[in-house]
Amino acid sequence: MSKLPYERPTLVRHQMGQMNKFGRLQGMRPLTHIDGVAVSDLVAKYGSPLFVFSQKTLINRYRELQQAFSRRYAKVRIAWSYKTNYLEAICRTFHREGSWAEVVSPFEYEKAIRTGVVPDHIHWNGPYKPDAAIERALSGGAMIHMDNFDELARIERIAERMGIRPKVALRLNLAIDGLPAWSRFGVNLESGQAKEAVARLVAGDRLELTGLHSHIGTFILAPEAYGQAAAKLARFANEIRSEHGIKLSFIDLGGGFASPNTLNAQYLPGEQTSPSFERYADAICDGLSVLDYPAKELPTLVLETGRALVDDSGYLISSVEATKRLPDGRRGLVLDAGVNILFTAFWYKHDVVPAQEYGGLLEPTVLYGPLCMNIDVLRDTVQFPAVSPGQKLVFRNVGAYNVTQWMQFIAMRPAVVMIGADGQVGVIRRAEQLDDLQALEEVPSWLK
Amino acid sequence: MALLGPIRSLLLCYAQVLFSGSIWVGLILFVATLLMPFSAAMGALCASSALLCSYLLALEPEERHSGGYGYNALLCGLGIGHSCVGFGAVALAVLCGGFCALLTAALRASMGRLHLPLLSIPFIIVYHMVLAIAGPAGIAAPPVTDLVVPEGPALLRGLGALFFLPRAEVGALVLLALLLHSRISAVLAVAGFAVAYALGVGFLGLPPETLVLIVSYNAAFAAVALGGVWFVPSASSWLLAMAGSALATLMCAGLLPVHQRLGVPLMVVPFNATILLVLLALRQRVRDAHPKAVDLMLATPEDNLDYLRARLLRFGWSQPVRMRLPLRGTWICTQGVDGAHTHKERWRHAWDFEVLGPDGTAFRGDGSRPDQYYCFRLPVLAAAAGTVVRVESEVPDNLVGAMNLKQNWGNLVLLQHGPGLYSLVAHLARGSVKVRLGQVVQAGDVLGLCGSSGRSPQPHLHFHLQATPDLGAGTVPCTFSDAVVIEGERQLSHSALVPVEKQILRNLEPDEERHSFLASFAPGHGGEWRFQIGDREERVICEVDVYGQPLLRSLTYGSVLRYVLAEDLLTTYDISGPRRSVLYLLRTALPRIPLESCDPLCWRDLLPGRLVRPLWLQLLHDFVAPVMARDGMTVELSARRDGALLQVDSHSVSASKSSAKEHEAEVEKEPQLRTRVLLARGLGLVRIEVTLRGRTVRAERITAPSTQETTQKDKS
Repeated sequence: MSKLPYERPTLVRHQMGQMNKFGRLQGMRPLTHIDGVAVSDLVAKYGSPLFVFSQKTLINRYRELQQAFSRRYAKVRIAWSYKTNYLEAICRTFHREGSWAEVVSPFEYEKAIRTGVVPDHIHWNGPYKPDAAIERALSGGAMIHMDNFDELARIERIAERMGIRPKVALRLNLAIDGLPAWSRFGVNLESGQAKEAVARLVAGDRLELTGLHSHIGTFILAPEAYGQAAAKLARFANEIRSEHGIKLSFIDLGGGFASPNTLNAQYLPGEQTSPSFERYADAICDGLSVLDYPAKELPTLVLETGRALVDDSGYLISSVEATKRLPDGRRGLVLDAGVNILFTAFWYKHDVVPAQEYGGLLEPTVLYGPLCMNIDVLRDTVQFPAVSPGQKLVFRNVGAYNVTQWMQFIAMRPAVVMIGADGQVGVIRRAEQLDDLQALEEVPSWLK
Repeated sequence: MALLGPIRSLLLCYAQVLFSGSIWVGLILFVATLLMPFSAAMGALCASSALLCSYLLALEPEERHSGGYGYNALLCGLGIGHSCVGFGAVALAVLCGGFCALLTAALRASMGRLHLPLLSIPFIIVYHMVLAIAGPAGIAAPPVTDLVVPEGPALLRGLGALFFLPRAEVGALVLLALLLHSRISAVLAVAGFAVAYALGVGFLGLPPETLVLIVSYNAAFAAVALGGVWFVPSASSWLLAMAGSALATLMCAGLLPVHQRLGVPLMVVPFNATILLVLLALRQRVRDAHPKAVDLMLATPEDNLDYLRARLLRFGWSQPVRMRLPLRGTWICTQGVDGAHTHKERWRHAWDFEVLGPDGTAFRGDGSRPDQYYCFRLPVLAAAAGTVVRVESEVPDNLVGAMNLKQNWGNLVLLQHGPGLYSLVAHLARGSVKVRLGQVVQAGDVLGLCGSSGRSPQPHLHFHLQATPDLGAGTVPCTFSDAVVIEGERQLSHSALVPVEKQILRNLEPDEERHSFLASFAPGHGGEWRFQIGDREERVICEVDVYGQPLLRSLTYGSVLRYVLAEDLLTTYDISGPRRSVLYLLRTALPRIPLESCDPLCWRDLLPGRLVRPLWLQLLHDFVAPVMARDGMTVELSARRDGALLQVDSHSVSASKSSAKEHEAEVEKEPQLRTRVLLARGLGLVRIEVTLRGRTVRAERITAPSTQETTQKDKS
């Protein structure tokens, strides 16, 4: 018989029955392997902290989304939202599945091109599009989603100069019951601004309107909100078809589907509250059924889902540096990963579990990062088992926004690896080194 | 130049005797008749007179150009040359030509109403009249006194006898013409002759000379006509042809004494009677197969065979209306034809479909409620355009495991797609039917939502075709057009699919992107393309013919390729004309492209054997083609976007292998055929590359506009 692992004694207040109104006291399963690869092996080879992406999950999620919609609507296109995660390996995985690219800056546009996306498979959103970039995008045939009247006029001038008649889309913002209005992007539908924009575009006679776009918000937990948005866009599409004879080739409902994460303000865990792709699809395709188009000419439904596609394929492995007892009785853990690399800790109660088997009870624990900053808290009070320095933790559902919004602050950014669909492991972004950072710096002559 | 037309028509009169439309065949036959110069002159004169008469009377010009008004007159003229002499014969030939044209016009109309061919009936009537006139008019040829039985094989002399020239050298030329026209016909003629000879000599005891002069060509041409002209060549048509030869031989033997008593020759009467008899009789069959009657008269028996094969093997038609899967997205077939549960006996041609989730089950959770099933309340579509003739929508959905045997179809929509063609979708969700009785729907319109009503223990979609509007009527076979079968990472598009159990499938979903690469194929957009093949330059234009069919024509060589650009597919069809043309490369490399931009999508097609075979081998192959089960090369194609280019690759595969595992195995050895086509966005074809048995031919599109040509155009 092998020796049992040491269990550090824990003092906890006595609780009756261990039940609360939401059910059993939650237990916690450790996550020792990701897609069959041992966490300890990954850390031994690639260091800690470490971001890990599961290609299998990426592909499964993508197909789930794609199929949920294509079983309900004839033409569906997914445009991968670059800002959510533009690591090339991630993008390639989605592009190989057939996704287009959705970019919001010249930098992202160039990144997509370098990744091998053909320009006519790019939807370009966002409020900022410099002239030179517009010209480049138009010459490649990318689809520009116009944000405002000034941009419309600029694109017209550029098109005139280039002697082309580009296809463009118009971004709308609209009011949805129960949602805060995202009125800063696009032209407003209810105020008549959108109608005016279409009339202006038609009168200008330089551009061809082929798409409508709206993005009602982010982490939307109510699918009905999308149903409303889809119906509003569809009715507007009917209106401009009967008024101007414009036959749209696509309607873009943006992104914003919730991932399995739990928002800081949420009480129930996200895995229970976040709607499935099917529920979003039901609502959207239902909303689109008011489209007055012949079956064969229906516009393509474009989705710019980011977070819900990539979040649950991403893991962050972190090591415990030290444990301490706080004055209020809680336990504190000092980890080697902080908000510098897990930016989304500001948004979510991240799902975190130990990476090795454990014994004993859970106790209230605070997870601190390595930064010498008071804000560097990854989880504020989570029921967590006793862990010792050197042991590993795994944060789940960290695939979205972290490896794009992370910062090089105090520490350098760690490596990112991908576990391939066949179980092979490869680095998709190596750990930053001092030379990488120094390469950008220059010392002026008077300081040499 | 003006003379060329009439000469062509005249030569085609000769070719028509052998059911051919080739002037070369006509020329050989003309040369054959020259062995008897007077007969030849009378034949040509009589045929010309008929053509002239049909011209003056303004009879159908197409029929005149193709020699249809002249071949009876030609035979008649040859007959006059054989049995009459002097200027009287010349006058008679001119008159009889006109008479033949009149008879042809009159009989064609009345027999055409019965869908019967004219054959050589005008000749029989007119020539009998000639024989009756010749004696009294004093122009009859003197009886041959020094009767010398000509030498030579009976077969050749028999073939010559059709042209009143029972000589071996004439027969040899006729056989040569027949071989040039169609190897299948030549084989049939020889076999028909053999049957007649065996039957005539061995059983009926006919004298050999009668066999040569009368029986042989009747039997031989009965075999040619039945075996390949009116029936598609096959083992069964050959059997029919041999039976036809035997029948013609029997008729010869039976009618001979009667005709001898009347004092008139028998000539081609048995042939005509046999063909009309067989055609009328076989039209009463309840199924048109073995042998399959020819639906569309084409140039040669080889063409008839190719056409039928293309229809069956390339397009796999089974019903006249194009059916799509009645669903959106990816589903799985859970019960096919002759299924384990309910698709049996009269209802065997039916399909059940469900949806599988990411874990491979049909439901999430424990699957105890209908709404846990992935397919529950998904849209169900019209498989084709039609009219709603029956709707049921108030049957409750069953609990999982329960069945409603009273209203066994549950909620349903029955569509009529045409006379005797109905499609049923059943077990829909209660209250989900979105169409009304009498409503006209288009293919792909939503009929209702998938449910679990009727005899349905768990949510699924049932689909079948039936021939009558009654609920519970027996089902009829169905193939789905352009359905995609998904096997792992491979997606294979089938032009005609009969789904089987466990197959994961979806419809082909066309999009605009592929169209942008094929825009130049759109009728009216094409203009002129120039290609460089080696050191040759070829010009090709995109046209629409008088029937509204688009085609590509090589201005340099005259070759023609027909194609159709539909909303979901570009398909190339028949090709004709000189084989040097780039169009042959195009036909080989681009049999079809589904207009869906999906990289894992691949598709197969069958290239006609003659496209990939050297000419000499094709000529040899024709002899055995009818008894071969299939002919041609199966190719597998796929398309990949590469920047602004679309690259369509194909390679030959051994036929009938379709599963993914076998696919990997067969790629290893170098395929016989490899092709690559590059298409540019908005520009169309850029390059075609065909590697056949290690030999590569490449055609590059010359895209820079030629200034010389445009100026020439401006001038004109």
